[in-house]
Amino acid sequence: MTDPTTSGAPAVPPGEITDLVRRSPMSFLGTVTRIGGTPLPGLAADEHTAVVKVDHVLHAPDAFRRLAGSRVTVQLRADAAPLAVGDSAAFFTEGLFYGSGLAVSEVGRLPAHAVRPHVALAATSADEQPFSAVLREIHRQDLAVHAREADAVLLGTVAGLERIDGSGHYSEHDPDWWRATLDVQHVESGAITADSVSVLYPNSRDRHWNHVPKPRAGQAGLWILHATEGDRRELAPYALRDADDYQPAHRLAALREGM
Amino acid sequence: MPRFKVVNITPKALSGESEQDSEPFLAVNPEKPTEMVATAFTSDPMGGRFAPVYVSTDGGSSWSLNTIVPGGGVIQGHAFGTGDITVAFADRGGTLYAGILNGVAAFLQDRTILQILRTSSITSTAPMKVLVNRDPVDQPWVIADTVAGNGGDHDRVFIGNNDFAHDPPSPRSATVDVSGDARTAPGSAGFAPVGIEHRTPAQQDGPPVRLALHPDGTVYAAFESWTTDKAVSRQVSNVTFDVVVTRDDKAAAGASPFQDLVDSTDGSPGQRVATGRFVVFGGSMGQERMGGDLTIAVDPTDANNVWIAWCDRVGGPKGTDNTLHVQRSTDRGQNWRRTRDDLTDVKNPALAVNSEGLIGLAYQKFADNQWTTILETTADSWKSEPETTVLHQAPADVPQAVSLPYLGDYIRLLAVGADFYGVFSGNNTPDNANFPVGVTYQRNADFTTHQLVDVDGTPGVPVSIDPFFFHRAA
Repeated sequence: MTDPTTSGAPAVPPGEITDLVRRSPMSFLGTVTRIGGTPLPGLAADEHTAVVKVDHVLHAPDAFRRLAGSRVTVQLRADAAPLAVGDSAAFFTEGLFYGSGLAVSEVGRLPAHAVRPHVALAATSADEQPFSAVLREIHRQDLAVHAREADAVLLGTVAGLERIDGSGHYSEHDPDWWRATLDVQHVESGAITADSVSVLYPNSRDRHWNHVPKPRAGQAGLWILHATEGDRRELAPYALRDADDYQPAHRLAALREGM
Repeated sequence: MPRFKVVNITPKALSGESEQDSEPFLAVNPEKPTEMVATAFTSDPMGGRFAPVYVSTDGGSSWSLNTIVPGGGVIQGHAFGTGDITVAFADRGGTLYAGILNGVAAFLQDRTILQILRTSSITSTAPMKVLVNRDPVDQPWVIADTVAGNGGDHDRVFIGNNDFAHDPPSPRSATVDVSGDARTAPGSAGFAPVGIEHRTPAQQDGPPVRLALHPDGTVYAAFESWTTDKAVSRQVSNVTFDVVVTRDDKAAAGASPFQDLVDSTDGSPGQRVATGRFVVFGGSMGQERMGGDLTIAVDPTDANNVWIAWCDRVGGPKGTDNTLHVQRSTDRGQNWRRTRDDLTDVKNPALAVNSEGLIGLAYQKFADNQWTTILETTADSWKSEPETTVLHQAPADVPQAVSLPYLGDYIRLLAVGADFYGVFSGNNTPDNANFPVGVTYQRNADFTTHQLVDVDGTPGVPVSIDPFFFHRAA
């Protein structure tokens, strides 16, 4: 039975948790209850298969945030240190099997003591998950990279919206391009000198396009813009493309730290 | 008396999910009907690069996800599942075929890319093999069978689709991709597109191209030939269309595929079943969009007998209806007659005929702010009252639509032997009143409090759209 305490245990290198969270959609602190088998029918097991009782979910998609107390099958990395029944560890995982129970593949592992401070802190904060702060930092980093790779970033207000009269075939998946005119209050990056700028966006609610921001008249905020290509250049110099392309204006300060 | 089974196929491991898992499809292995695969707009629950199919190996009683479909992934925080997807088993050998629109590519490249996929085992975790890549194409629809010949079995696979990839551009978009040996042929597995529109539509044909295959090699392909097309916006258009049925008598293996049925009036390949029909393509009914409802089925005991159903707006541009029409031909698609009374405010008709000549018609009806999914069966083509079974009924305004389609642009009904199998999507509130013939949930649910329950027993998981499998055992 091993659950190393912090006394005398090697420290986790800075950034390792962030790196593991970035590479794995779900992590949890758990205790091994079985090695070499799984209760899940239809799932092959070998000597690297473990059943782990989830003590605390550290981070997970919404559908898996309430796994604490349940048993999850973990396909351990073949090159990772062997585990025995009763061992505790922080498992960083990705999905493997979704049936009468959940099975995941191990992406990485940390000793339990490395994450206990996060668990303790989460219990006293408003954070929903012990790694919420890590996730926020990752999102901040990703948003900064996204903004840095964009062709323009500005603070602006939607002054006009108009439908583009397109041609060509009809499909349920047509993006239904519209053009927004943004009154520019501040240019953070990009070669925009005019007081306003035209921006294309897919107004379709089809599932291919629904996640892209749909500007509303009078909406103010931070806009992350991407240069249009091909024939669309004639319609507008920029377009909204990703779910993160609209942000509240106050995010600019956080963005600057990463840009 | 037939026995009914309705199953919410969301696995127990996903008890906490609340996604909009719409536009379902189903394949049942004819060789081993306890094996089946269902699909929907479901993304990998943890954002992986492959979208899942739902797999059952016990006749639909329990289901798990197998993430094997290309086109998933997370881009800038948004999880993509597959785009349009349909699946079919060959008759023998257990090979599963899929026609999809690659979900990520559709977004990143703003192109609807058709991929034809194959796997030899539905439980293998290996990604499905990509046989064909082509764009822009919409709404692939797959059927398959197996024939013996040349020393072994050959899988014949047909994929109806709306293909805009014409050079030079052509409005004749109704297409069927055909392979006579999809299991073993090298490269693209023998697939080649066949245009089935021989008239000149206004700008294009409608998205649905539906197929029905008889074991003797007779294959019917139905489509909507758009004759006028007046845009309201890029996604809404007032469309007038003809319902057209084409036929090939030798499994589309000859030099002029799908030209064996010639219109009795203009002499062109493709019999017009109905002309001058109107629909608001992209219009709405409740929270759902409309415009492409079409289905066709052939009697497995007699290839001369074929049924077709479609929806249009009888009230024209000023109307609000979406009316279902059902017609029958007894002479291989040449002459058609109405065989069922019209039914208003319906979408997603799905026809199938079983080995005893019993006709099944599933559809989703919108009335009194409620969606009702119904299965009708009739042995005399509606001359007498059909057996009518309500599979599901629930409020149409719960949950709020996240995107479109809300329930899906189609559902699936198929027959294997004397049994009917199908799948639909709907509001997943666990309320026995919503399921008159009963239901089984894989995911945690409390039918007393009508609440979905998370993996740890916590109630209050939000109501969402789930796929439901159904089985009518003879």
